Amino acid sequence: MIRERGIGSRIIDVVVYSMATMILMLTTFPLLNIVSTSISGNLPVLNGWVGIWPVQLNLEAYTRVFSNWLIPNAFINSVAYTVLSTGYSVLITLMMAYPMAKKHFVLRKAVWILLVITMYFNGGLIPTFLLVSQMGMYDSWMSQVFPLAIAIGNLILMRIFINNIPEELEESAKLDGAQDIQVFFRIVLPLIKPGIATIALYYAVWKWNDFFNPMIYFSTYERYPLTVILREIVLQGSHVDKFMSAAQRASQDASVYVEAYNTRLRYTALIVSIVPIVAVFPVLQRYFIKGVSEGAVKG
Amino acid sequence: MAQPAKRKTGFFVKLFQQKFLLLLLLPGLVNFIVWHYIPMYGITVAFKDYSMRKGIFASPWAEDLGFGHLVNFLSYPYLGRILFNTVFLNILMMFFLPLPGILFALCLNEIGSIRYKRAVQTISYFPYFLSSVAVVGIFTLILSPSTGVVNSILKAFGAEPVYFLMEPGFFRPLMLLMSAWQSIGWDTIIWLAKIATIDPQLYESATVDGAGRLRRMWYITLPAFKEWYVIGLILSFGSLLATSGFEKNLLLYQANPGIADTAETIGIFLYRRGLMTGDFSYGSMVGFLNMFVCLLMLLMANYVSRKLSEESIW
Repeated sequence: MIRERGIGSRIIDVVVYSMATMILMLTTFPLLNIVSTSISGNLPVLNGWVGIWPVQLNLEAYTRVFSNWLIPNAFINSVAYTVLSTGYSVLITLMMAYPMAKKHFVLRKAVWILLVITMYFNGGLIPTFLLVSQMGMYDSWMSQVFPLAIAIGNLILMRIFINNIPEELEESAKLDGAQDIQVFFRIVLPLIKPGIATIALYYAVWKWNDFFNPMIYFSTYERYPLTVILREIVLQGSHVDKFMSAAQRASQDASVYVEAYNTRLRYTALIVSIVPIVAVFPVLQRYFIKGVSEGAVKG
Repeated sequence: MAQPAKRKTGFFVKLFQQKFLLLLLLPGLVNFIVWHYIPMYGITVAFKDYSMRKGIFASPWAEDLGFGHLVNFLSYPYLGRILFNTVFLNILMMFFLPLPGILFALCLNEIGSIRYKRAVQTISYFPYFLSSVAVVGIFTLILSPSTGVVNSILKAFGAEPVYFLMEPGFFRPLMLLMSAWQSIGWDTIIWLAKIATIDPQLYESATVDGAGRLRRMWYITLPAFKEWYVIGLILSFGSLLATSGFEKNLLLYQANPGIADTAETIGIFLYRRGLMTGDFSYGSMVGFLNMFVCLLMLLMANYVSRKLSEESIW
């Protein structure tokens, strides 16, 4: 774009820079605040004195969070459900997307109609719940993996990635006498690795963040993923006493500890759930944008 | 002479030739039939008095020729309230939620330093990847009347602490705030991509004609945004009765059921009556009716949009 040096242009520069910076500050403020609060001392935390900088550094809440099996266990559960369901979903999405990407496949149109119908018409919450229960998947990891394993958006995206492979590559391999199976494994698979990574991350974030499904399908603490436990700790204020040491529970100031932990654990538990997202964020946003731009161009 | 004969290859012969493709398709297809089509049959529960013991098939039909639960739902005294809450929340969301993203994208588009622009944009994506539990949790903590930072600022100015999460009046602003916080950065990807589709010649000829930066923004970029915004509005009219931000809505409601006046939407009602109380038939009916009306409205919105702008979902 053409840049000007006029005074009007300067003013626009000042306005857009300061507005963008302000929006940035507003979006980061809540995050900075909870991070700082989680590592501040009891008194500042209980009085809400922490802004974006920790006051009286204190890391005790972090040791307490891991003093009880509840959060580590939920963390492991979340990882397990995410890995299992992402693996399964990616596998069958990829397998299904390949024939759906081939124009000469005889069932393409019929299956496509079958899929589109489900986008607008489905059994809904309760019939699905009854089916899951009847299949014996209630309160089991299976309820997180098998039902609704394919997201149609991801299937379409995968199909776009497959269609991006030049047709000639597959054609020439076939002329050289390669079977369908060989073409798929030798030529298609290596070329759509970025596509697979993209939809794997889409599924993984979805499953990791899913709260409603685990909430309705699990009934035992041992099987809860992080989101469900997090809700109980942060939003309902439950389980506080489980994180106190025996001495604290028995002491005369037990109620003081309860009050302090009630607040501090909430912040800490929240951070523990956010850290994995922070860790993979650079990769995450790159692949997510890839998906958005692919989908926008061709879809 | 061989050509016409070849074209007549039978369906099953072709299918047999494509057996590898069929094999790949099968697991996904089974998944769809089991998890999407069998529950469709399960909708019959809505017209029955479902009992766990008898199962879906053997349960007796509901009264009023099977429409008993429909009659029941339509005479529910708070029906007006849950409908209003759902529609009003959706209207607020569809009108206001795109605006912060548009404003942000407009600013980013005018920023000269690519590095600064990229940094600001990337950081602002972050909330998009958080779970609704984390988002509601963050806002619950910073808005807490006793320990939250927002209220301690208010208190520093001598104001009384505000119970943001317990006041029905704050529910809708909070939903908007939380959703905007999550989507403001991510939305800019789409808005900036759309700006990139504006013909650069428009800007050039405007410059030649002596239009300054502000005028170009005002007369070229902004009208384009207005058009996209309106199309988005028309399309989202189709989902007026869907429960937008359902998880956030549910979390806020469960933490403070006192805000039901504004926070009880169709999705929440369906969950409470259908799953919590275990009134499966009634819940299925509510869900079915909701989906049916949603579908009709979607078709309508799509029709209108196609007439007005040639953009449609299909």
